Formats: sequence, C-alpha cells, structure tokens
Amino acid sequence: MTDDDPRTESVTCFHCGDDVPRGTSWAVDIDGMSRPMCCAGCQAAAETIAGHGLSAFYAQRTLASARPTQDLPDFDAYDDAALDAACPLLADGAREAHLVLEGMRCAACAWLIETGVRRLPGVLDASVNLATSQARLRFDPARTRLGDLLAAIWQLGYRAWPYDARRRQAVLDHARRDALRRLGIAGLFGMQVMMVATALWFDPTASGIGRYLSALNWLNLAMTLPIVGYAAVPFYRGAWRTIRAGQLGMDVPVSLGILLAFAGSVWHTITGESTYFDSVAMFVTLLLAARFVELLMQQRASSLLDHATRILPAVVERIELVDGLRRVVRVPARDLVPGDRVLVKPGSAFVVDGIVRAGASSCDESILTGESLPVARGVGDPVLGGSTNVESPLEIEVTAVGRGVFMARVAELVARAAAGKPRLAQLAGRISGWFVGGVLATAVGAALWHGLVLGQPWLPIVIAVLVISCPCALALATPAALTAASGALLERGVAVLRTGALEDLVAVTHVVFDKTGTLTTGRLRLMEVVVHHGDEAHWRRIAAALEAHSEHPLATALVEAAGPGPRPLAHALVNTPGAGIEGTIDGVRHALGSRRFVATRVATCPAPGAAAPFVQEALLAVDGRVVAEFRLRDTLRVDAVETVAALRAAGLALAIFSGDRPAAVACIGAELGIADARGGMQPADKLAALEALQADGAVVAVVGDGINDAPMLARAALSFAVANAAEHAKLSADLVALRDEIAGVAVAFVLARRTRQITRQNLGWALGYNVFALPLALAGYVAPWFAAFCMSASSLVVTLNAARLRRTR
Amino acid sequence: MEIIWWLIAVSVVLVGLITWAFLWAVDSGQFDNLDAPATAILMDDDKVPGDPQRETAPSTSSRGAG
Repeated sequence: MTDDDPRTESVTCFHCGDDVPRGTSWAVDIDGMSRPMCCAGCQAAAETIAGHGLSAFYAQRTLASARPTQDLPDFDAYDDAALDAACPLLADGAREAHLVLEGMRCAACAWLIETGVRRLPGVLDASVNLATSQARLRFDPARTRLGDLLAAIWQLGYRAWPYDARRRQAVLDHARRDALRRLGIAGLFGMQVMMVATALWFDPTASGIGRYLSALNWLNLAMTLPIVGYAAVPFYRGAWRTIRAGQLGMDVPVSLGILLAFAGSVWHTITGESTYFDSVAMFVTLLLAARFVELLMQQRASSLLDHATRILPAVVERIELVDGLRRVVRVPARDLVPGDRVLVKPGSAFVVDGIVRAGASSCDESILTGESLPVARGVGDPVLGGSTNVESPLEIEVTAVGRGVFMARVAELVARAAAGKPRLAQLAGRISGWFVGGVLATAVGAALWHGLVLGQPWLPIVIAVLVISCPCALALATPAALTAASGALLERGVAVLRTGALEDLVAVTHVVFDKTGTLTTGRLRLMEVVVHHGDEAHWRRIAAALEAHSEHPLATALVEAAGPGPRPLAHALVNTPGAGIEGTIDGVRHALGSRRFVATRVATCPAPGAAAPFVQEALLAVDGRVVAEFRLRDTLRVDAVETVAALRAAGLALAIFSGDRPAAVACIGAELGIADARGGMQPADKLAALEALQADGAVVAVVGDGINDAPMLARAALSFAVANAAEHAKLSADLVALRDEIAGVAVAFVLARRTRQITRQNLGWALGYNVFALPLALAGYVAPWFAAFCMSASSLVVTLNAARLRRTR
Repeated sequence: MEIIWWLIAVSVVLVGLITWAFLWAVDSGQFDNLDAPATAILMDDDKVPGDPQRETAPSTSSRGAG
C-alpha cells in the first residue's frame, strides 16, 4: 500500500489498509478502541478476530491484511460429495485435510489461522506453512465437519480450498527433502574436508604436520566419499541425460571434473602426493546450494497457484421421478449421464453441456468464448459446461459429459497446440555447448602435450585444467540471475512457472492480448445517460430500484451508478431474461430494458443514436414514453493504458484477439491505440491467427485469461495468464499474475531485459576468469588452494551480481 | 602430536553424530515450515474472553511426523 496523499485526510481501514469510502460508518471495537473499517467484509473478519480474543494479531502483523470476500461459498458440498477426496481417513479415525490458503501476508497470519482453527471443537492439530501458503488440519469427523473448518478460516478473512495432497504435495516434499539432504551431507562432510585441507595448504613440512600427510589424505578420502558417491549423484544423472540426448550439457564437465579430480586424488593418496579433495567438496556444495535455492523458488512460485489440484465439489441437482412425482436430488456430477435433467440455480456453474428444457435466463460464457455480456438462453438453446447461470433457474437436459464437454475439447486443442510450441535457444545453453567442448579439447590437448611430447606426468595438469575451468561461475551465471529475477517478480505479483521463460521474453517481438477479462475488467460501467424528460439523478435511482435484485452485470452497473443515497422501492417486478424488467414504483409502472423490449410498451421509440462506443444500452419507459437511455460499456483495467504504453515504448508490436463482438473489440482497440484489434474469434481461430503471425517470423507473447485463450497460450513462445484466469489458461501459461492487474506484464518485460544484461555480465566474468586462469593451469602454475579460492570468489561475484536484480526499480 | 589421532577419531565420531541428527531433522519435517513457529511463540494465545468452548488440554503444537 502506498502512503496516502497528505492533502486529503482519508481514513484507512484498520483491517486491510485501504481507504475508507466517504459516508460509511463500519467500525469494530478492538481492545477497547473503535477502529474504522472500509467494508462489511473487513468488519466481519475483524469482529471474528476480536471476538475470539485473537486481537494480538493486529499488534504482531507486519503487513496490512488482504481484503476479505463478503460472500462465502457453499461449504456443505464438501461434506457430501468431496469429503473422501478432500481429506483421507487416518488409521486412528481422524481425517486429515490439506488446504491451499489465499490472503496470507506475514507470519502473524499463519499464527492467526493456526490458533483460530485449533480452538474449534474437534480439531486435533493444525499447522500452517507460510512459505507455501498451505495448511494441514487433523480433525475428528464425529465432532466437526470440514465445511465448518473452511467457513471458520473464511470468517477470519482468508480463502481456503482443500486440494489433493496425495498427488502433488508428496512429490514436491520428496524433491525438496532429497535436495536438502544432499546439500546438508555435502556441506557437513565438506567442512570436515576443508578443515584438514586448510592445514595442508601452508607448507606441511614447516608446520610439522607433514608427518601425518598420508593419514590426513586417507581421512579426507573417506570424508569425500559420501560427497562424490551420494551428494553429487544428480549431476551424473543430468550428464547422462544430456549425453543420451546427444548434447553436451553443463553437467558433463561438472561430472567429469568431480570424478577425475576424485580419481586423481585417490591415486595421489596412494602415492603420497598432494590431493584435490577440498576442491571437489567445495565445488559440489556450491553447485548444490545454487540448485537448492532455484528449486525452492520454483516450488514457491508453483505452490502459490496450486489451483490445478484444488478440489471443487461438483454437486448437481438432478430431477428424478419418485412415485410419479418430480423430485430434486443432489448427486455428484460424475454420476450424470446424457439425457438426465438437471436444475441449475442462478450463480452456479454448468458442469456439463446441455440443452435448456425449461426456464429462461442468461449465461455468462465470457471465460469460454470471451463474450463480455451474458447471453440469453431460453428453451431449446444449448448451454456450455464451465459457463455460469446468471439470472434465473434453468432446467437442462444433459447432452455431453466427461470428455465430450466443450471444456474437454478445448483441453485437447491445448495439448495439440503445446506440441508445436517454438523452443527458443537459450543463451547459456548455446555458450555452454561450445565452452564444454572447448574445455574437454583443451584437457585432452594438454594431456597429449605433457604426456607424449614432454614426457611428464599428465594427470595433475588435466585435473588442474578441469578443476580451475570447472564452470562453477559459468554454471551459476544463468541460474543465479534467473532465480533472483523470479524472486523479484514474485514480490511484484508475477509467478514464473517455466524456467527459461524470462530468457524467452527478451526475444519477443509481438504481444497479443485477449480483451474481456485481460485488458478489461469484464464489468460494465455507465458511460452516459441521454435524458428525454425529467431529471437524470431521479431516473438513475429509478433504474437502480428496478435492478436492485438482479445479478446481471448491467444491473450491477446501474445500481453502482445510482450512488449510495436512498432509492425508491420497486415491487411487482417481472423479469424477462435477456430483454428487460418491469416494476411498480410509487404506484407507477416502469419498464427498463433493451430497445426491442421497450419498443413494445411505448407509442414512439426514439431511433438508436450514432454508433457510439458503448456495448450495451438500457431504455427506461414510464407511462408509454421513453424518458432516459442508459449507455454502458466494458471498462478498461486501471493499469491497461500504462501497460500498453510501456510495451509499445519497448518496441513491441501489439494486437488484440478476442471472442467478443468486433464492434466492442474495435472500440477498446481504438482507446488503447492498438490498430490490430480482431473480434468474434473462436479458440481455433485465435490459434490459426497466432500461427499465421509465427509463420511470418514473429516471436509472440500472449496475454489471456479464458478457456478460449488456452490453446493460444500453449502455442505461443511465451504466455502470460492474468490472476482470475481459468485453470486451463493458467496451466498453459509460462507466467501467471498473482494479483488482479496486468501491470505485471510490463514489469516482466523490464525485468527480463535486465536479467539478460546481468546474465551477460555474469557469463562475461565467468569466461574472462577462465581465459585468465586456464593458461596458468595449463602451465602448471596454479596451486590447489589458489584454484579453490578463485573458484569460490568467482562464484560469489556472480551470485552477488545477480542479487542486484532484486533491487530493480 | 600423538593427540592428532584422538582428534581425528573425535572428529569422525562428531561428523557421524551430526549427520545422523541432520538426516533425522530433515526426515521428521523440521525444515518444512521455517516461518510460522518463530512468531507463534511470541504471541499470547491464552487470552480468551468468555469463551467456554476453550479446550482445557494444551493445544498440540507438535508438527507430527510427515
């Protein structure tokens, strides 16, 4: 949160730190002080916290809390449909639930959730992990229900979802523990080796320790065995993998260096000469440490959006005939078969494709098709699984389940598109292939020269070449910069899901945006009111009164536009989904709706105005005449203009591919100054248009949110999903915004360029160091202790240089 | 200088003990959650005004084996 402008005396919410809107009076008594609140959601959360005696949270937290949502989802479903999936039964009769938490900001949040949940009856244990935003609860199913526990966490102001821990968490935990174990072993034994080696560096005979040289070498040999035989195994595996694929990866000289230095040291131990065990130990430990940090960064980024494994109970209300009477029965969605009749309430999603058999409503298909407004659906119309019913209950007949559903078909398109994704050559990969080849050739050349031509012992020279040129700094150069950049991006709300995505970002020439939900918020806003008779403010209140109880986005926008003042009460409301609404206010009948809807109720209907930049209109009619026209449009995100300007300044070509009506898309395109704005595109059209761009040699980055963008996201060289994107879109993306904003796209581009700069400096340093040190090693002038020192110093320089990325702007 | 044999023996035993302790700590999940316990101990969670449902048994703060 930025500091408030000192000129306006705004009050900030005690819970979330946002400004308190004027004219509101939410407040909560916390420890004897009345604290202002900005909304009912914050008030409810703060009341829960204070009421449970947990107000110490406010003293301990270091960041303001996230603003809580006001409406809680239906938790009951978890206790009938998804219970066994969400929390496995333990041997002692207790159940264990793994939750993904959203809204945690600091360690005090973790304490608050832990303490708040432990106090509930029936909870046996609760532990919250801040780093991964996950919680593990154990509870007694006889005394409490999962739904109650979830509700309790939501009431504290956080969002919690169960997820299938068995599938993913076990894998992640295992990988992390394995890496930590190897790093720890390398570090512990490495310290032991270094302790002995340091004593031997400085003229062993003078210090009198020379007598024990052989014994100390044997000790170091024993202490290095676990490092070479256990800790370094991932490098051998990596090297083997790249060799089998016909490439020379960074792991090849790393493995060769480790094994040759170790083998040579063993030989020298037997013959009683100086050894390189310390170099081996330090080398393995440093590399393992770098990889461990990289792993943690990746796991943190991916666990923050562990939505893929989130368990959402799909319960539907099936209409069944019981003794000849129609009854509604709640059944799990997987039990549905084509031909079943299902009742879908307003506000809930369709889980299957179907045909409307009774009722009329409108459906929000924006996530599937990009259409920004709900589309009217009546008897005989098809509805798509994944869309949401907006206005009134519908009875649908199931036509497709499982793999036949629209979403599943898009998923197949995604899989096919992903196979054709262009792989950009990575800077480090290109360099490392040459470098590795060069080092190996030099080593062989040195061996031949010293062995055959000069007739000297060649093994020490080869080891020196491999150890000193062991591409420690080179191996660290790219990962260190990428890890630091991923960390910096994470702090700015962007998770990097694919390593290398940041490197690809630099090569991008075109950026393609989706419209609805990406450039725009997907919410309507009142643009202008054309008044034919009477007072504008009055008609605004009348419109708000008529629409007060509707879920339609148009209704929400009109209610918002009327302001907070008192509004009249409407009764005898008659809603015609997709057309309009009628109601009686102060004894007079009012009608509000589309031009066609109103035209049947008035004597003369005004002709539509010139093609103005609005996407939706609503006419208000009273006593047989039209008194006002409301014009609404989709609103741009607050950061859309800046982001587009920043990307254009960076020299990128921009385009909009949308599924919405071409007129609406053209309007947004004109406002942002994007000439190439195409509308009315199906997922396959978008994919084809993208492939056409790529065929012309463009490297395209795609920013999107919907299911309809998923194939395009999978096919693009680089893809960016916004925070409220559909799961398919997130799974296909390389970068995902964690906050509801798109400014992260511009930040990612800036940081990617900076990362490449740093990576180049790092590579330059590492290569320069090798060019300087290699001839010395070839000539046999480099003592082992100096080689080890140079290696660590150069790695340190590279790591510290990369750390500068964290402070970028 | 004969003490060096003792020192070598002691250091080998020590590194063995530390390794065992480290592996135990990793396997029992001691490194899984490094932030929350640090603050948990600073916070006073005994203050429950008029809450009869407060369980009398001290809450189990052990992490439990993973």
